[in-house]
Amino acid sequence: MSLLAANLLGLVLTCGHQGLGTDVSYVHSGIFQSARIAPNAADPAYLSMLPNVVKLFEHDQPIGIAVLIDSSGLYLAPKNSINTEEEIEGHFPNGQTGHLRRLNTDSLTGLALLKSDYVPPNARPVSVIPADPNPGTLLVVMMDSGSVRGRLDSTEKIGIAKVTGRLVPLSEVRFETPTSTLSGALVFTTSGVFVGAINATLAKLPAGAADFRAQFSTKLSNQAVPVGGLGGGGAAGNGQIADSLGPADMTVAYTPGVDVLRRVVEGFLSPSHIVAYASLGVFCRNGAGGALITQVVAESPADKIGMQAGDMIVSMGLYMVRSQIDFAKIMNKARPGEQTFIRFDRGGRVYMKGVTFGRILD
Amino acid sequence: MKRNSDDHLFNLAFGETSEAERAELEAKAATDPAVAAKLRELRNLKADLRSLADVPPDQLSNDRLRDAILGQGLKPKQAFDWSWVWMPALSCVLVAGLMMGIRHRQSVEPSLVGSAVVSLQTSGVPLFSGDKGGDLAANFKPSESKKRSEVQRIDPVSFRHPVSRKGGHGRSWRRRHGLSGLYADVNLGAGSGIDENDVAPGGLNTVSLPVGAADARISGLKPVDNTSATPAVVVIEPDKDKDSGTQQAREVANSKNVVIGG
Repeated sequence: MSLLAANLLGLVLTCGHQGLGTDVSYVHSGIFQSARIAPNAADPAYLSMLPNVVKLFEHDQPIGIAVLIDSSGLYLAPKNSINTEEEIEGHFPNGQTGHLRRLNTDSLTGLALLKSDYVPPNARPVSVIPADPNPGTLLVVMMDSGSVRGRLDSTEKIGIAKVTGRLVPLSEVRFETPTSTLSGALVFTTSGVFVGAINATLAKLPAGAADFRAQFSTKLSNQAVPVGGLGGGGAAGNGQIADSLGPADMTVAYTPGVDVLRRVVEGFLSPSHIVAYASLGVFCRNGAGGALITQVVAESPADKIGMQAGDMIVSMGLYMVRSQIDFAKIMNKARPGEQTFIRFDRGGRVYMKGVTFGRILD
Repeated sequence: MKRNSDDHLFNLAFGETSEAERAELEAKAATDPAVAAKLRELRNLKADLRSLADVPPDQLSNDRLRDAILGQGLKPKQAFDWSWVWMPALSCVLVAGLMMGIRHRQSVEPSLVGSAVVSLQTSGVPLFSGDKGGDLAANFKPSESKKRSEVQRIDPVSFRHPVSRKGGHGRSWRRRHGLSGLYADVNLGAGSGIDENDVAPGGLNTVSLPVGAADARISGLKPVDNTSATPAVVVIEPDKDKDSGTQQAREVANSKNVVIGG
């Protein structure tokens, strides 16, 4: 009864905010300040995946989880949850503790590769989902304290890392706002296939978010969503995961796209544990019909073929470049060491040069 | 000895012996049945050879035999000769393939961005050794690979304004399709200063580029809508969100001013 009252209170607060026409409930982050939900540690999907993860601790404080990607003891974790360069304490599901050391990181996706000398006997490496899941796919967001339900909304988001300016394809995920931090959260399908790691949350909800929340508010008022599991992840009373979200408020977050995730895992599992990305060595912004170069890195492949700031890339290989986003998409598909030809415009004159992509190491 | 006797009998059967030898061999054949049988066999052989010699020389080869048969009014069964069929068949296939290719090309959007990158070959990979901060230049280390030649300028042969020509699109059509304005004829062929690394497989020759709108002319399709080329992007801020503990994301409706590194 008190539970229902608390949810109704959240609904009232929500409606009140909407009535005022403000976004006060999510001014600073994508996480609503009301109607959070505790991660469900009894979720069957969570329990089925638990043997394959290890909880990470720093100074006796939980910082996230890592998932086994190779039976040799290689674990994958969001690096934004890891604040130390030293060994990290790991608590395995069977009660064992051990230490994990960081072998490598990938700044583009915010993932880190950890090595553990201990692997529980019943742990199985997870597999990355082979292709983009369909929007609407039900997901499980795993944290160190349990899981919450989520839903894949899009696999076509374009992310730009502000520091490096590099493009990373993103999957947009919406899930019930947990009471605990999302740093170090991993995303799976309900059948345990690895989908990604939460590396960012939206600072402001996009247009349509009010409708999205209203949808769940309506479901709540109609009691279409079982609420008996609150404190148990919004699951139905029998512990099963409902196929709709709510009644908690929603968080919009992003994980690296499936393609880049697979590339990272492949790189981490290689003998060198290195994930390499192709690079031309330029920074550019949108130009009139191309990617306008604003900076050329010294000694880069672009520098070696004589490209300059002010040049506008109009095509690469057989593909036209209409904007800097097109350029980034091509670079995202390219591999270090590949050769192609690049056509660029300089003051109305067109130049064409062969170029070999360099590589950026993390 | 037997061989010598057979030779004598052979000579006798073919009339190539002297009278003395002939009398001696026939006397021997009269007393020895085996010799008589051999002589008889050889004489039959001679008779057969004679009958063979009676075949007209013009019938001793297949062609001549066929001609002889035809000369007697007989016609051989005509076998169909398929050897010429492949040429028109191949021509039809090529024409059909060309037509399908043209149709397919006309139905495809001009931009193939994001599908793949043409990979020619791999050699000497320049190396970036770090990307942990905003200063990409500071983290770049030069490659051990050999230096490439300095940029080689490709001078356009000429600039021209599009003019209406017989069988082509008129100026008004090009203006409607955004193709009006100044064109640059870029010579990408021999003598333009391009080495083998600069030209796509299959080679390129002269390309006419409308200055500032090269995409439309190259694709041969509808002009580029540049507004669609600046989609919404999600900028990942380096700062952590206090509430979620993750990096902050910010949606930018128009990516026109977003700087990309690559």
